Amino acid sequence: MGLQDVWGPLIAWYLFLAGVGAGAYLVGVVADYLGERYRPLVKLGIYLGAPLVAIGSLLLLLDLGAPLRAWRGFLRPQSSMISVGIIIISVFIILGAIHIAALLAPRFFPRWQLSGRAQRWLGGINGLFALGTAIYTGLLLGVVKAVPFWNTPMLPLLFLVSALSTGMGAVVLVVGLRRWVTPAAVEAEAGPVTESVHALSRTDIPLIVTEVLVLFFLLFIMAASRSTAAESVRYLVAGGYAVAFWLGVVVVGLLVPVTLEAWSLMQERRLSLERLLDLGVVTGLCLLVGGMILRYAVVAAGASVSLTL
Amino acid sequence: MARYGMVIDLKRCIGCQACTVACKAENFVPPGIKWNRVLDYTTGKYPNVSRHFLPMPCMHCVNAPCVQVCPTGASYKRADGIVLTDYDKCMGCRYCDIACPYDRRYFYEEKVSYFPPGFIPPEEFKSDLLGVKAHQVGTVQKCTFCVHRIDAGIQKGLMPGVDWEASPACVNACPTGARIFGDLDDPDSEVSRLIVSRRGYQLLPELGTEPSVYYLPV
Repeated sequence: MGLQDVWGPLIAWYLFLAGVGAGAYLVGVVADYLGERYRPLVKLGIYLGAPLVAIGSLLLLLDLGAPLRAWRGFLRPQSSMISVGIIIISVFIILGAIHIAALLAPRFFPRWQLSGRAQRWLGGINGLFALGTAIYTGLLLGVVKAVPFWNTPMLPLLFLVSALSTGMGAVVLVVGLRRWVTPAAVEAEAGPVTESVHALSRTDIPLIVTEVLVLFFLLFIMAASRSTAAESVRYLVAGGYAVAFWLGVVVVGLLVPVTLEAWSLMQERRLSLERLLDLGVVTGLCLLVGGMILRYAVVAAGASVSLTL
Repeated sequence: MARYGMVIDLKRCIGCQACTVACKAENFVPPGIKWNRVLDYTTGKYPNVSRHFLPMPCMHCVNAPCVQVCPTGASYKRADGIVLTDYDKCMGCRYCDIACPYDRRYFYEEKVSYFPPGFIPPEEFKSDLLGVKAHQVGTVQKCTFCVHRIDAGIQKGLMPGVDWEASPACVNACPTGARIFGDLDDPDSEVSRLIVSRRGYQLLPELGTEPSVYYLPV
Protein backbone atom coordinates (compact mmCIF):
# COMPACT_ATOMS: atom_id res chain seq x y z
CA MET A 1 0.00 0.00 0.00
CA GLY A 2 0.99 3.58 -0.40
CA LEU A 3 3.18 4.54 -3.36
CA GLN A 4 2.62 2.11 -6.16
CA ASP A 5 5.38 -0.48 -6.54
CA VAL A 6 3.76 -2.35 -9.41
CA TRP A 7 5.33 -0.50 -12.29
CA GLY A 8 9.03 0.25 -12.07
CA PRO A 9 11.98 1.63 -14.04
CA LEU A 10 11.30 -0.36 -17.23
CA ILE A 11 7.89 1.29 -17.58
CA ALA A 12 9.43 4.72 -16.91
CA TRP A 13 12.04 4.10 -19.63
CA TYR A 14 9.30 2.94 -21.99
CA LEU A 15 7.18 6.05 -21.40
CA PHE A 16 10.29 8.21 -21.85
CA LEU A 17 11.58 6.54 -25.04
CA ALA A 18 8.13 6.46 -26.63
CA GLY A 19 7.86 10.20 -25.96
CA VAL A 20 11.35 11.04 -27.24
CA GLY A 21 10.90 8.93 -30.38
CA ALA A 22 7.51 10.43 -31.18
CA GLY A 23 8.84 13.93 -30.54
CA ALA A 24 11.94 13.44 -32.68
CA TYR A 25 9.86 12.04 -35.53
CA LEU A 26 7.54 15.04 -35.37
CA VAL A 27 10.56 17.38 -35.52
CA GLY A 28 11.69 15.60 -38.69
CA VAL A 29 8.27 15.70 -40.34
CA VAL A 30 7.56 19.33 -39.48
CA ALA A 31 11.04 20.31 -40.74
CA ASP A 32 10.24 18.47 -43.96
CA TYR A 33 7.04 20.50 -44.38
CA LEU A 34 8.91 23.77 -43.75
CA GLY A 35 11.13 23.21 -46.76
CA GLU A 36 14.83 23.40 -47.51
CA ARG A 37 15.82 25.67 -44.64
CA TYR A 38 15.73 22.93 -42.02
CA ARG A 39 16.91 20.09 -44.25
CA PRO A 40 19.51 18.83 -41.68
CA LEU A 41 16.73 18.02 -39.20
CA VAL A 42 14.50 15.98 -41.48
CA LYS A 43 16.49 12.78 -41.77
CA LEU A 44 17.82 12.84 -38.22
CA GLY A 45 14.35 13.23 -36.74
CA ILE A 46 12.89 10.44 -38.84
CA TYR A 47 15.87 8.11 -38.26
CA LEU A 48 15.53 8.58 -34.49
CA GLY A 49 11.74 8.23 -34.29
CA ALA A 50 10.73 4.64 -34.89
CA PRO A 51 13.90 2.99 -33.45
CA LEU A 52 13.59 4.83 -30.13
CA VAL A 53 9.93 3.92 -29.80
CA ALA A 54 10.78 0.34 -30.79
CA ILE A 55 13.45 0.12 -28.08
CA GLY A 56 10.95 1.47 -25.56
CA SER A 57 8.37 -1.10 -26.63
CA LEU A 58 10.96 -3.83 -26.28
CA LEU A 59 11.50 -2.76 -22.67
CA LEU A 60 7.75 -2.89 -22.13
CA LEU A 61 7.71 -6.38 -23.57
CA LEU A 62 10.49 -7.42 -21.18
CA ASP A 63 8.48 -6.00 -18.29
CA LEU A 64 5.52 -8.28 -19.03
CA GLY A 65 5.10 -11.33 -16.85
CA ALA A 66 4.32 -13.47 -19.89
CA PRO A 67 5.85 -11.70 -22.93
CA LEU A 68 4.94 -14.58 -25.25
CA ARG A 69 1.27 -13.71 -24.78
CA ALA A 70 1.74 -10.07 -25.81
CA TRP A 71 -0.13 -10.80 -29.07
CA ARG A 72 -3.30 -11.08 -27.00
CA GLY A 73 -3.07 -7.34 -26.47
CA PHE A 74 -4.07 -6.79 -30.12
CA LEU A 75 -7.25 -8.83 -29.90
CA ARG A 76 -9.51 -6.47 -27.99
CA PRO A 77 -8.83 -2.95 -29.28
CA GLN A 78 -11.87 -1.50 -27.55
CA SER A 79 -11.11 -2.82 -24.11
CA SER A 80 -8.23 -1.00 -22.49
CA MET A 81 -5.92 1.99 -22.82
CA ILE A 82 -3.10 -0.52 -23.28
CA SER A 83 -4.89 -2.17 -26.22
CA VAL A 84 -5.36 1.20 -27.91
CA GLY A 85 -1.73 2.11 -27.21
CA ILE A 86 -0.35 -1.15 -28.54
CA ILE A 87 -2.09 -0.52 -31.86
CA ILE A 88 -1.09 3.15 -32.14
CA ILE A 89 2.54 2.37 -31.31
CA SER A 90 2.69 -0.62 -33.67
CA VAL A 91 1.35 1.44 -36.57
CA PHE A 92 3.82 4.21 -35.73
CA ILE A 93 6.78 1.83 -35.66
CA ILE A 94 5.78 0.12 -38.92
CA LEU A 95 5.11 3.36 -40.84
CA GLY A 96 8.22 4.90 -39.28
CA ALA A 97 10.32 1.95 -40.45
CA ILE A 98 8.86 2.29 -43.96
CA HIS A 99 9.73 5.99 -43.86
CA ILE A 100 13.33 5.19 -42.88
CA ALA A 101 13.53 2.57 -45.63
CA ALA A 102 12.23 5.12 -48.14
CA LEU A 103 14.95 7.57 -47.10
CA LEU A 104 17.71 4.96 -47.24
CA ALA A 105 16.60 3.07 -50.35
CA PRO A 106 18.02 5.47 -53.00
CA ARG A 107 21.54 4.88 -51.61
CA PHE A 108 21.38 1.20 -52.46
CA PHE A 109 18.81 1.05 -55.24
CA PRO A 110 18.96 4.32 -57.19
CA ARG A 111 15.70 3.56 -58.97
CA TRP A 112 13.70 3.24 -55.76
CA GLN A 113 12.93 6.85 -55.13
CA LEU A 114 9.86 7.93 -53.18
CA SER A 115 8.87 11.41 -54.34
CA GLY A 116 9.14 14.25 -51.82
CA ARG A 117 5.38 14.66 -51.99
CA ALA A 118 4.77 11.01 -51.14
CA GLN A 119 7.27 11.22 -48.29
CA ARG A 120 5.49 14.23 -46.84
CA TRP A 121 2.19 12.39 -47.07
CA LEU A 122 3.69 9.43 -45.25
CA GLY A 123 5.17 11.77 -42.65
CA GLY A 124 1.89 13.61 -42.22
CA ILE A 125 -0.10 10.45 -41.62
CA ASN A 126 2.47 8.88 -39.35
CA GLY A 127 2.89 12.25 -37.63
CA LEU A 128 -0.63 11.73 -36.32
CA PHE A 129 0.41 8.35 -34.93
CA ALA A 130 3.51 9.98 -33.41
CA LEU A 131 1.25 12.48 -31.71
CA GLY A 132 -0.96 9.59 -30.61
CA THR A 133 2.06 7.77 -29.18
CA ALA A 134 3.16 10.81 -27.18
CA ILE A 135 -0.35 11.44 -25.86
CA TYR A 136 -0.94 7.77 -25.11
CA THR A 137 1.97 7.63 -22.66
CA GLY A 138 0.13 10.22 -20.56
CA LEU A 139 -3.34 8.72 -21.01
CA LEU A 140 -2.07 5.30 -19.89
CA LEU A 141 -1.43 6.70 -16.42
CA GLY A 142 -4.11 9.40 -16.64
CA VAL A 143 -7.10 7.05 -16.78
CA VAL A 144 -6.15 5.22 -13.57
CA LYS A 145 -8.81 6.28 -11.09
CA ALA A 146 -7.06 4.52 -8.22
CA VAL A 147 -4.08 6.90 -8.43
CA PRO A 148 -5.46 10.45 -8.04
CA PHE A 149 -2.09 12.09 -8.79
CA TRP A 150 -2.19 10.63 -12.32
CA ASN A 151 -5.92 10.94 -12.82
CA THR A 152 -5.92 14.48 -14.21
CA PRO A 153 -5.89 16.03 -17.71
CA MET A 154 -2.65 17.81 -16.75
CA LEU A 155 -0.71 14.54 -16.95
CA PRO A 156 -1.19 13.72 -20.66
CA LEU A 157 -0.53 17.39 -21.41
CA LEU A 158 2.68 17.30 -19.37
CA PHE A 159 3.86 14.12 -21.09
CA LEU A 160 2.97 15.49 -24.54
CA VAL A 161 4.86 18.74 -24.04
CA SER A 162 7.78 16.86 -22.51
CA ALA A 163 7.76 14.40 -25.42
CA LEU A 164 8.04 17.25 -27.96
CA SER A 165 10.73 18.98 -25.91
CA THR A 166 12.83 15.83 -25.31
CA GLY A 167 12.35 14.92 -29.00
CA MET A 168 13.98 18.20 -29.90
CA GLY A 169 16.65 17.45 -27.32
CA ALA A 170 17.43 14.13 -29.00
CA VAL A 171 17.62 15.77 -32.43
CA VAL A 172 19.83 18.67 -31.33
CA LEU A 173 22.06 16.22 -29.46
CA VAL A 174 22.60 14.15 -32.61
CA VAL A 175 23.07 17.25 -34.76
CA GLY A 176 25.83 18.29 -32.36
CA LEU A 177 27.40 14.84 -32.18
CA ARG A 178 27.54 14.64 -35.98
CA ARG A 179 30.24 17.30 -35.95
CA TRP A 180 32.55 14.87 -34.16
CA VAL A 181 31.83 12.03 -36.56
CA THR A 182 31.68 13.80 -39.94
CA PRO A 183 33.03 17.35 -39.44
CA ALA A 184 33.33 17.96 -43.18
CA ALA A 185 29.67 17.24 -43.89
CA VAL A 186 28.56 19.56 -41.11
CA GLU A 187 30.90 22.35 -42.25
CA ALA A 188 29.55 21.99 -45.78
CA GLU A 189 26.04 22.92 -44.66
CA ALA A 190 27.00 25.31 -41.87
CA GLY A 191 24.25 27.77 -42.81
CA PRO A 192 21.25 25.41 -42.63
CA VAL A 193 22.69 23.67 -39.53
CA THR A 194 22.98 26.98 -37.65
CA GLU A 195 19.54 27.96 -38.85
CA SER A 196 18.10 24.59 -37.73
CA VAL A 197 19.64 24.69 -34.25
CA HIS A 198 18.32 28.21 -33.71
CA ALA A 199 14.89 27.14 -34.93
CA LEU A 200 14.88 24.28 -32.43
CA SER A 201 15.79 26.68 -29.63
CA ARG A 202 13.09 29.13 -30.67
CA THR A 203 10.48 26.35 -30.61
CA ASP A 204 11.71 24.66 -27.47
CA ILE A 205 11.69 27.76 -25.26
CA PRO A 206 7.88 28.20 -25.36
CA LEU A 207 7.53 24.43 -24.91
CA ILE A 208 9.67 24.48 -21.76
CA VAL A 209 7.76 27.48 -20.43
CA THR A 210 4.54 25.56 -21.04
CA GLU A 211 5.99 22.49 -19.36
CA VAL A 212 6.99 24.51 -16.28
CA LEU A 213 3.48 25.94 -16.07
CA VAL A 214 1.76 22.57 -16.54
CA LEU A 215 4.03 20.95 -13.96
CA PHE A 216 3.35 23.80 -11.53
CA PHE A 217 -0.42 23.58 -12.07
CA LEU A 218 -0.33 19.80 -11.64
CA LEU A 219 1.61 19.92 -8.38
CA PHE A 220 -0.24 22.93 -7.00
CA ILE A 221 -3.74 21.60 -7.65
CA MET A 222 -2.84 18.05 -6.60
CA ALA A 223 -1.34 19.33 -3.33
CA ALA A 224 -4.74 20.87 -2.60
CA SER A 225 -6.63 17.76 -3.72
CA ARG A 226 -7.42 14.41 -2.07
CA SER A 227 -4.97 13.35 0.58
CA THR A 228 -3.49 10.61 -1.60
CA ALA A 229 -2.62 13.00 -4.42
CA ALA A 230 -1.20 15.44 -1.88
CA GLU A 231 0.94 12.59 -0.58
CA SER A 232 2.33 12.05 -4.10
CA VAL A 233 3.19 15.75 -4.37
CA ARG A 234 4.83 15.72 -0.95
CA TYR A 235 6.90 12.72 -1.98
CA LEU A 236 8.08 14.55 -5.11
CA VAL A 237 8.84 18.01 -3.76
CA ALA A 238 9.85 17.26 -0.18
CA GLY A 239 10.07 13.50 0.28
CA GLY A 240 12.20 10.67 -1.08
CA TYR A 241 12.31 12.09 -4.60
CA ALA A 242 12.92 15.74 -3.71
CA VAL A 243 16.56 15.82 -4.87
CA ALA A 244 15.82 14.00 -8.13
CA PHE A 245 12.83 16.24 -8.73
CA TRP A 246 14.36 19.65 -7.99
CA LEU A 247 17.82 18.92 -9.35
CA GLY A 248 16.96 16.45 -12.10
CA VAL A 249 13.61 17.58 -13.43
CA VAL A 250 13.51 21.28 -12.60
CA VAL A 251 17.16 22.41 -12.82
CA VAL A 252 18.75 19.98 -15.30
CA GLY A 253 15.64 19.22 -17.33
CA LEU A 254 14.03 22.65 -17.56
CA LEU A 255 16.02 25.63 -16.24
CA VAL A 256 19.46 24.78 -17.67
CA PRO A 257 18.23 23.99 -21.21
CA VAL A 258 15.94 27.01 -21.41
CA THR A 259 18.80 29.25 -20.24
CA LEU A 260 21.27 27.77 -22.72
CA GLU A 261 18.77 28.05 -25.56
CA ALA A 262 17.91 31.65 -24.75
CA TRP A 263 21.59 32.52 -24.44
CA SER A 264 22.51 30.91 -27.76
CA LEU A 265 19.69 32.83 -29.46
CA MET A 266 20.84 36.11 -27.91
CA GLN A 267 24.39 35.50 -29.17
CA GLU A 268 23.01 35.09 -32.70
CA ARG A 269 25.94 35.07 -35.17
CA ARG A 270 28.60 35.80 -32.57
CA LEU A 271 28.71 32.12 -31.64
CA SER A 272 30.94 29.93 -33.81
CA LEU A 273 29.33 26.84 -35.31
CA GLU A 274 31.46 24.61 -33.07
CA ARG A 275 30.39 26.41 -29.92
CA LEU A 276 26.76 26.39 -31.01
CA LEU A 277 26.81 22.67 -31.66
CA ASP A 278 28.61 21.86 -28.40
CA LEU A 279 26.01 23.95 -26.61
CA GLY A 280 23.38 21.89 -28.45
CA VAL A 281 24.93 18.66 -27.17
CA VAL A 282 24.76 19.90 -23.56
CA THR A 283 21.22 21.21 -24.02
CA GLY A 284 20.08 17.94 -25.61
CA LEU A 285 21.63 15.82 -22.87
CA CYS A 286 20.02 17.97 -20.17
CA LEU A 287 16.61 17.75 -21.83
CA LEU A 288 16.87 13.97 -22.13
CA VAL A 289 18.09 13.38 -18.57
CA GLY A 290 15.38 15.69 -17.20
CA GLY A 291 12.67 14.02 -19.28
CA MET A 292 13.73 10.58 -18.12
CA ILE A 293 13.75 11.58 -14.44
CA LEU A 294 10.35 13.24 -14.91
CA ARG A 295 8.84 9.94 -16.14
CA TYR A 296 10.56 8.00 -13.41
CA ALA A 297 9.43 10.39 -10.68
CA VAL A 298 5.81 10.56 -11.87
CA VAL A 299 5.58 6.76 -12.09
CA ALA A 300 7.22 6.25 -8.69
CA ALA A 301 5.12 8.91 -6.95
CA GLY A 302 1.81 7.30 -7.90
CA ALA A 303 0.10 6.87 -4.55
CA SER A 304 -2.92 4.57 -4.62
CA VAL A 305 -6.19 5.46 -2.88
CA SER A 306 -5.81 2.19 -0.99
CA LEU A 307 -3.50 4.29 1.18
CA THR A 308 -6.54 5.94 2.72
CA LEU A 309 -8.23 2.71 3.77
CA MET B 1 -29.34 -15.23 -11.31
CA ALA B 2 -27.62 -14.75 -8.07
CA ARG B 3 -25.11 -12.00 -7.40
CA TYR B 4 -22.75 -13.21 -4.75
CA GLY B 5 -21.51 -10.86 -2.10
CA MET B 6 -20.10 -10.75 1.38
CA VAL B 7 -20.91 -8.85 4.52
CA ILE B 8 -18.15 -8.26 7.06
CA ASP B 9 -19.24 -7.31 10.56
CA LEU B 10 -16.53 -5.01 11.92
CA LYS B 11 -18.12 -5.26 15.39
CA ARG B 12 -17.29 -8.94 15.43
CA CYS B 13 -13.83 -8.97 13.82
CA ILE B 14 -11.10 -9.59 16.38
CA GLY B 15 -8.19 -9.40 13.92
CA CYS B 16 -7.11 -13.01 14.41
CA GLN B 17 -6.23 -13.47 10.71
CA ALA B 18 -7.90 -16.90 10.60
CA CYS B 19 -9.51 -15.83 7.31
CA THR B 20 -6.11 -14.90 5.85
CA VAL B 21 -4.63 -18.27 6.75
CA ALA B 22 -7.68 -20.30 5.73
CA CYS B 23 -7.60 -18.58 2.35
CA LYS B 24 -3.93 -19.39 1.89
CA ALA B 25 -4.47 -23.05 2.73
CA GLU B 26 -7.61 -23.40 0.63
CA ASN B 27 -6.21 -21.74 -2.48
CA PHE B 28 -2.53 -22.77 -2.24
CA VAL B 29 -1.62 -19.08 -2.29
CA PRO B 30 2.15 -18.64 -2.83
CA PRO B 31 4.45 -16.99 -0.26
CA GLY B 32 4.35 -13.21 -0.11
CA ILE B 33 0.83 -13.07 -1.52
CA LYS B 34 -2.36 -12.63 0.48
CA TRP B 35 -5.63 -12.92 -1.39
CA ASN B 36 -7.25 -11.86 1.85
CA ARG B 37 -5.70 -9.46 4.31
CA VAL B 38 -6.74 -7.84 7.56
CA LEU B 39 -5.59 -4.27 8.03
CA ASP B 40 -4.74 -3.54 11.64
CA TYR B 41 -4.54 0.12 12.65
CA THR B 42 -5.08 2.49 15.52
CA THR B 43 -6.78 5.86 15.57
CA GLY B 44 -6.86 8.70 18.08
CA LYS B 45 -4.21 10.05 20.43
CA TYR B 46 -2.99 8.59 23.68
CA PRO B 47 -4.78 7.95 26.00
CA ASN B 48 -7.90 7.97 23.83
CA VAL B 49 -6.88 5.42 21.24
CA SER B 50 -8.84 2.68 19.58
CA ARG B 51 -7.72 -0.24 17.51
CA HIS B 52 -9.46 -1.29 14.32
CA PHE B 53 -9.40 -4.23 11.99
CA LEU B 54 -10.42 -4.15 8.36
CA PRO B 55 -10.58 -7.55 6.65
CA MET B 56 -10.24 -7.18 2.89
CA PRO B 57 -10.95 -9.87 0.33
CA CYS B 58 -11.41 -8.90 -3.33
CA MET B 59 -14.42 -6.57 -3.50
CA HIS B 60 -15.78 -8.28 -6.65
CA CYS B 61 -16.94 -4.85 -7.87
CA VAL B 62 -19.92 -4.53 -10.18
CA ASN B 63 -17.95 -1.94 -12.16
CA ALA B 64 -14.60 -3.62 -11.67
CA PRO B 65 -11.69 -1.35 -12.70
CA CYS B 66 -9.46 -4.43 -13.13
CA VAL B 67 -11.82 -5.86 -15.75
CA GLN B 68 -12.13 -2.48 -17.49
CA VAL B 69 -8.37 -1.99 -17.91
CA CYS B 70 -7.47 -5.57 -18.89
CA PRO B 71 -6.15 -5.53 -22.48
CA THR B 72 -6.39 -9.28 -23.06
CA GLY B 73 -9.71 -10.16 -21.48
CA ALA B 74 -7.97 -12.31 -18.87
CA SER B 75 -9.81 -10.42 -16.13
CA TYR B 76 -13.48 -11.09 -16.47
CA LYS B 77 -16.72 -11.05 -14.57
CA ARG B 78 -19.10 -13.99 -14.33
CA ALA B 79 -22.85 -13.59 -14.56
CA ASP B 80 -23.04 -14.21 -10.81
CA GLY B 81 -20.82 -11.19 -10.14
CA ILE B 82 -17.63 -13.05 -9.32
CA VAL B 83 -14.54 -11.39 -10.84
CA LEU B 84 -11.86 -13.85 -11.95
CA THR B 85 -8.56 -14.00 -13.82
CA ASP B 86 -7.99 -16.48 -16.61
CA TYR B 87 -4.29 -17.23 -16.06
CA ASP B 88 -4.00 -18.68 -19.57
CA LYS B 89 -4.86 -15.31 -21.11
CA CYS B 90 -2.97 -13.00 -18.74
CA MET B 91 0.18 -11.43 -20.25
CA GLY B 92 1.30 -9.98 -16.94
CA CYS B 93 1.12 -6.25 -17.75
CA ARG B 94 -0.19 -5.53 -14.23
CA TYR B 95 -2.47 -2.71 -15.36
CA CYS B 96 -5.20 -4.31 -13.20
CA ASP B 97 -2.84 -4.30 -10.23
CA ILE B 98 -2.36 -0.55 -10.71
CA ALA B 99 -6.06 0.08 -11.34
CA CYS B 100 -7.49 -1.74 -8.31
CA PRO B 101 -8.30 0.96 -5.74
CA TYR B 102 -8.35 -1.67 -2.99
CA ASP B 103 -4.90 -3.07 -3.78
CA ARG B 104 -6.36 -6.57 -3.91
CA ARG B 105 -4.39 -7.95 -6.85
CA TYR B 106 -1.03 -9.63 -6.76
CA PHE B 107 1.55 -10.31 -9.40
CA TYR B 108 3.01 -13.81 -9.03
CA GLU B 109 6.56 -12.86 -9.91
CA GLU B 110 8.62 -15.93 -9.20
CA LYS B 111 8.17 -19.34 -7.72
CA VAL B 112 9.26 -19.34 -4.08
CA SER B 113 8.55 -22.28 -1.84
CA TYR B 114 7.48 -22.09 1.77
CA PHE B 115 9.66 -25.09 2.57
CA PRO B 116 13.22 -26.25 1.84
CA PRO B 117 13.84 -28.38 -1.27
CA GLY B 118 12.49 -31.93 -1.07
CA PHE B 119 8.95 -30.99 -0.14
CA ILE B 120 6.14 -30.55 -2.60
CA PRO B 121 5.32 -26.84 -2.72
CA PRO B 122 1.81 -26.43 -1.30
CA GLU B 123 0.75 -24.36 -4.28
CA GLU B 124 1.29 -27.41 -6.49
CA PHE B 125 -0.03 -30.05 -4.16
CA LYS B 126 -3.18 -31.56 -5.64
CA SER B 127 -4.45 -28.08 -6.45
CA ASP B 128 -6.14 -29.22 -9.66
CA LEU B 129 -7.77 -32.11 -7.89
CA LEU B 130 -9.37 -29.73 -5.43
CA GLY B 131 -10.61 -27.47 -8.20
CA VAL B 132 -8.22 -24.58 -7.58
CA LYS B 133 -6.60 -23.55 -10.85
CA ALA B 134 -2.82 -23.91 -10.73
CA HIS B 135 -1.07 -20.57 -10.30
CA GLN B 136 1.09 -19.36 -13.17
CA VAL B 137 4.29 -17.40 -12.67
CA GLY B 138 4.13 -14.08 -14.54
CA THR B 139 0.40 -13.60 -14.16
CA VAL B 140 -1.79 -11.65 -11.76
CA GLN B 141 -3.94 -13.46 -9.20
CA LYS B 142 -6.54 -12.56 -6.63
CA CYS B 143 -9.35 -13.77 -4.36
CA THR B 144 -11.95 -15.83 -6.23
CA PHE B 145 -14.63 -15.93 -3.51
CA CYS B 146 -13.59 -19.63 -3.48
CA VAL B 147 -15.44 -20.07 -6.74
CA HIS B 148 -14.49 -23.77 -6.84
CA ARG B 149 -16.34 -24.37 -3.57
CA ILE B 150 -19.38 -22.38 -4.74
CA ASP B 151 -19.59 -24.19 -8.10
CA ALA B 152 -19.07 -27.65 -6.61
CA GLY B 153 -21.59 -26.89 -3.86
CA ILE B 154 -24.28 -25.72 -6.25
CA GLN B 155 -23.81 -28.92 -8.27
CA LYS B 156 -24.63 -30.85 -5.13
CA GLY B 157 -27.73 -28.75 -4.59
CA LEU B 158 -26.21 -26.78 -1.72
CA MET B 159 -26.68 -23.10 -1.01
CA PRO B 160 -23.58 -20.82 -1.00
CA GLY B 161 -23.44 -18.88 2.24
CA VAL B 162 -25.77 -21.27 4.00
CA ASP B 163 -24.05 -24.62 3.55
CA TRP B 164 -20.50 -25.00 4.77
CA GLU B 165 -19.41 -26.96 1.72
CA ALA B 166 -20.55 -24.27 -0.71
CA SER B 167 -19.13 -21.27 1.16
CA PRO B 168 -15.76 -19.49 0.91
CA ALA B 169 -13.01 -20.74 3.22
CA CYS B 170 -12.64 -17.40 5.00
CA VAL B 171 -16.34 -17.39 5.91
CA ASN B 172 -16.11 -20.93 7.31
CA ALA B 173 -12.94 -20.18 9.25
CA CYS B 174 -14.07 -17.02 11.03
CA PRO B 175 -14.37 -17.90 14.74
CA THR B 176 -16.67 -14.97 15.54
CA GLY B 177 -18.93 -15.26 12.52
CA ALA B 178 -17.91 -11.84 11.29
CA ARG B 179 -18.16 -12.92 7.65
CA ILE B 180 -21.49 -13.67 6.04
CA PHE B 181 -21.77 -14.80 2.43
CA GLY B 182 -24.79 -14.93 0.20
CA ASP B 183 -26.90 -13.63 -2.68
CA LEU B 184 -27.20 -9.83 -2.80
CA ASP B 185 -30.00 -10.07 -5.38
CA ASP B 186 -32.21 -12.00 -2.96
CA PRO B 187 -33.81 -9.48 -0.57
CA ASP B 188 -34.46 -12.25 1.97
CA SER B 189 -30.87 -13.51 2.13
CA GLU B 190 -28.97 -12.88 5.34
CA VAL B 191 -26.49 -10.57 3.58
CA SER B 192 -29.25 -8.41 2.11
CA ARG B 193 -31.10 -8.19 5.42
CA LEU B 194 -27.93 -7.28 7.35
CA ILE B 195 -26.99 -4.57 4.86
CA VAL B 196 -30.39 -2.95 5.34
CA SER B 197 -30.79 -3.41 9.10
CA ARG B 198 -27.22 -2.62 10.11
CA ARG B 199 -26.55 0.05 7.45
CA GLY B 200 -23.88 -1.82 5.57
CA TYR B 201 -21.48 0.35 3.59
CA GLN B 202 -18.93 -0.16 0.82
CA LEU B 203 -15.30 0.98 0.70
CA LEU B 204 -14.47 4.03 -1.44
CA PRO B 205 -18.02 4.33 -2.83
CA GLU B 206 -17.10 7.66 -4.46
CA LEU B 207 -15.13 5.79 -7.14
CA GLY B 208 -18.30 4.20 -8.47
CA THR B 209 -16.87 0.69 -8.41
CA GLU B 210 -19.91 -0.68 -6.56
CA PRO B 211 -18.20 -3.41 -4.48
CA SER B 212 -20.02 -6.64 -3.62
CA VAL B 213 -18.38 -6.64 -0.19
CA TYR B 214 -20.22 -4.64 2.45
CA TYR B 215 -19.07 -3.67 5.92
CA LEU B 216 -21.22 -3.37 9.01
CA PRO B 217 -20.08 -0.42 11.13
CA VAL B 218 -18.60 -0.90 14.60
